[in-house]
Amino acid sequence: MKATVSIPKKEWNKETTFFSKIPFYLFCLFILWFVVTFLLFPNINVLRDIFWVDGQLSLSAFQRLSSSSRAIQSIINSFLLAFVLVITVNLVGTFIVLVTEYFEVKGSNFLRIGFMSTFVFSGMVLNNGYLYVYGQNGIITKVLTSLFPNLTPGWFTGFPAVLFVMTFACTTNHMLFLRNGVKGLDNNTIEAAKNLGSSQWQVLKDIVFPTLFPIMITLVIMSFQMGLGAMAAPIMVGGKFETISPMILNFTQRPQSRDIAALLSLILGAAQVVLLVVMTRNEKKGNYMSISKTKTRVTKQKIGNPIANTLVHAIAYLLCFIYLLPLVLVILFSFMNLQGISRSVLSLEYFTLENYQQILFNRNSYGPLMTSIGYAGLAAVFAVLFMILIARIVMKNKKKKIAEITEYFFYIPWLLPSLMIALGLILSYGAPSPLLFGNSVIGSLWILPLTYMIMMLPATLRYIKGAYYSFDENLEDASRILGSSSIRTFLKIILPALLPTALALVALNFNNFLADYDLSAFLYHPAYPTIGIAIRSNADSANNLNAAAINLVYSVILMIVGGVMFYLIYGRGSKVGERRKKVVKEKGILEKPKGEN
Amino acid sequence: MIEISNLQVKYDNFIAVDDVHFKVEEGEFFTLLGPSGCGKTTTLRTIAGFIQPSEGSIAIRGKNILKVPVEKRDLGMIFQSYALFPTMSVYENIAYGLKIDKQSKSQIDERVQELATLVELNTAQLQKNVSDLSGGQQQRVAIARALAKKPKVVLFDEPLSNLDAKLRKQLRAELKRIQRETGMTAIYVTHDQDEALEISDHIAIFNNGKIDQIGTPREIYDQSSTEFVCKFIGDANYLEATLIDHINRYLGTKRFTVGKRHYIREEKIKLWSSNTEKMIPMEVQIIDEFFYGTFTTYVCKYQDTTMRIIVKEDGNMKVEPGMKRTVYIDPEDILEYEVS
Repeated sequence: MKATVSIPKKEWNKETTFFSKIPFYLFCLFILWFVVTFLLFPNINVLRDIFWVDGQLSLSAFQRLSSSSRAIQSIINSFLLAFVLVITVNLVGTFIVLVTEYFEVKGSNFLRIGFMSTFVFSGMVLNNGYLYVYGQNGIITKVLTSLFPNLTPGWFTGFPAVLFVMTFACTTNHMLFLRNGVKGLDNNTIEAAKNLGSSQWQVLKDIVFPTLFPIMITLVIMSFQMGLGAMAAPIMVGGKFETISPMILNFTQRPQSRDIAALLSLILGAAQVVLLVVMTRNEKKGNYMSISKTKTRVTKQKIGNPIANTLVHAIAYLLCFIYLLPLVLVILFSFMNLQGISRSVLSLEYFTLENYQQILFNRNSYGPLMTSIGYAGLAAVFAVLFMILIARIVMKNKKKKIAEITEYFFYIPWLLPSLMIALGLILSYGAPSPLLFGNSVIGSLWILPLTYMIMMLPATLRYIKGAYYSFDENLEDASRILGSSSIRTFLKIILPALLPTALALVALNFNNFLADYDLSAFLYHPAYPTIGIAIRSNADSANNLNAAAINLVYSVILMIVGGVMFYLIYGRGSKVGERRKKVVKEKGILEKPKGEN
Repeated sequence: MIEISNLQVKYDNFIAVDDVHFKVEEGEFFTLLGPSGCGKTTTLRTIAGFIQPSEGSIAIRGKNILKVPVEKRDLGMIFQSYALFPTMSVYENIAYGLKIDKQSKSQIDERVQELATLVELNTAQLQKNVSDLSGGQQQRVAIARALAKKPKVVLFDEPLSNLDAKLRKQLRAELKRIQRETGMTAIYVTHDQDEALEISDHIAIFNNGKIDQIGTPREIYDQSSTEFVCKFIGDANYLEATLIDHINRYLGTKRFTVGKRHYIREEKIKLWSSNTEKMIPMEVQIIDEFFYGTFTTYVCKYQDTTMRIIVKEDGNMKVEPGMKRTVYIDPEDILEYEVS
């Protein structure tokens, strides 16, 4: 028997439902336009540029690429860097996590601060710092040349220099993910292994590493990815050691070589897709979670062998020294005058605040900083707002294919390297386009923050979806049944619950793109260079002390901003949006996504 | 008051609720009872408007509400997780629906106070954050919030299942009191048979998406219409064919069909009987005994039938495991079902 539904024709809710859905339909149109204009069309154009010449299918880009020895060498270099970096980063990364979280090492709190310095001392700032210490005029170089007069001042260059910088720059993920993994180990399993006669090494080999295996594989893949797409380090300290990303930048700047740039981007993109597939498969394999009913926190393990213990302590402090030296010197020398900087001497005699005054009160100096803050800030806020709405639509229509497809579109920037996205935008909108309502991206101010935003979308969507999953759906039901409309429920109930995650994401996105160089190099407006561009060009003027001083101050300011942002994300600031202290208890569930089906 | 007809809820090829009919009268406490996954919560959420049925109708006071949006159905709901808004105080939680109705501040104050008195929350507790309250207090807030707008019907989705046994018992009585005082019509979902028997005016027993029986608690218990209901409600002993044969022989008739399935409630088997004409004696072996304070359960065996007998404890029980003992059954108490 069919339903006996008999609603009067003039039922109020039918009409209001249609009109109240008009904003939703408009938003859907906006999504469609955004996806086509910024996610699909530019990337299709990159492919077209490679394979479609003079109206027909062509493989000339491959021929041109294979005949360019410089381009081929850059590909070889990138893969070489990626492979070696996987080994060095994971060795150093695993070691620093074990000495701070697993083994009983004296001064581990201090060491942890040193190893976590890359959270704020990263990207262009880090590269500039290493250049400042190990470069031609660097302190270490001066010390070394005084000890070994035959050493050339430009010794810190090429593959070893890039590898060195990147090894210490890329352990942030270890301190984030592997550290959490070690902290989450079940001490009972370690004790049980010891009880059964395992040595310290056997416990590591048989219990600890297998438990951390999925995280470690993910870290291997991430470090490979970072090596393959390296941009800042090869540009800053690479010298003749050229890699794919800077090469793409070079080829893009010459219109006749753009197809080679596009092909190089495609190679990077293909590698990224393969890595993502491997990573996803790895995530799905096996159960590595503790099945213990009463999990206990891991207690720090003593290294019984005195020689091994001394060796571990020595290496830990040496690494910490390497991590902290550029950072400390950058901070200290930012307070030295030009004489102090040129002589590389730290002395109260040379102490000055002039460098800071010069930046904080000079439009030309603080301009790039303000531009970057504006760009990264706008992009971060809009990315989060946009993805909150998208996630809402996706979650409300979980079972609909169209919602699933829409979601996948927003993950496109994850699959493709940022350079390919930037190149796609240049290729597609170098001239006025109807998709941009007659505008072009050349010389426009908004293209860079927009590209930042595009790159922020996948991770933002993923995290917000996670927050939605941990949101108690009964709260929404309760609000609706109490008479609240869906918009009011969204604003009053759902949004406040998502706010801590949303604010943390704004901060995280902002930090990630504040000192961006890679995208800026492609898309910045000449009148409004970003801080990444400014640091890079200052670093270039090797003998210009003033530029070096400016870079030191920029670095310190960026580290302060980064520090504040991390405080907001992980410190007290993450409680913003909770009106009462005790709500933290409730929020606990929001921070542990249940996972998706 | 509320009438559910021919209700069906389908998820792709899976039918979660099938051909469900029931009627709840004004001021009645109606319970949907059944094991996990039987469709009772789906039915409740369909009434609330969170799920669209594939077939059927839901009418409140004669008006079909199937196309009326959730927020306009004028229903109250109490959730298993309470679903209290964590960013709001107790007062704000209770006042939430009233604010949506744009009631004046004084009206809201008055109503919140009234509800606080009803659910026994004090003024200080009203100002607290909901996470500062105990589970029982949070449940009281959830009840007050659901009642604030004086809804036509209040829906309860296993509201006591998160509480400990003692508190659950205490709150059941409270719920019944509140229902009596407010005269609300309640539809209550639970899988706890004791809870259902204690507080309901009528119970619908759900089994695999369908309703097996609707009746008063006494009807459901004493005259369970299906084997599933008999086994789900209370505790019943399954009687093997040899015992049924013994009973038929004692009665001298074929009153019970060997081949059908027979049960008897544990408390219906007696250790003593004054009415020897009506009661059928049988000699059993006492196997085990479990003492529960106010009563004792004996496990006994008659040929291949193992039975549990509940006996009210009076301190003079002369029964011990290993003993042979005559027990008595009233044939009227035997429940007979077709083999399904």
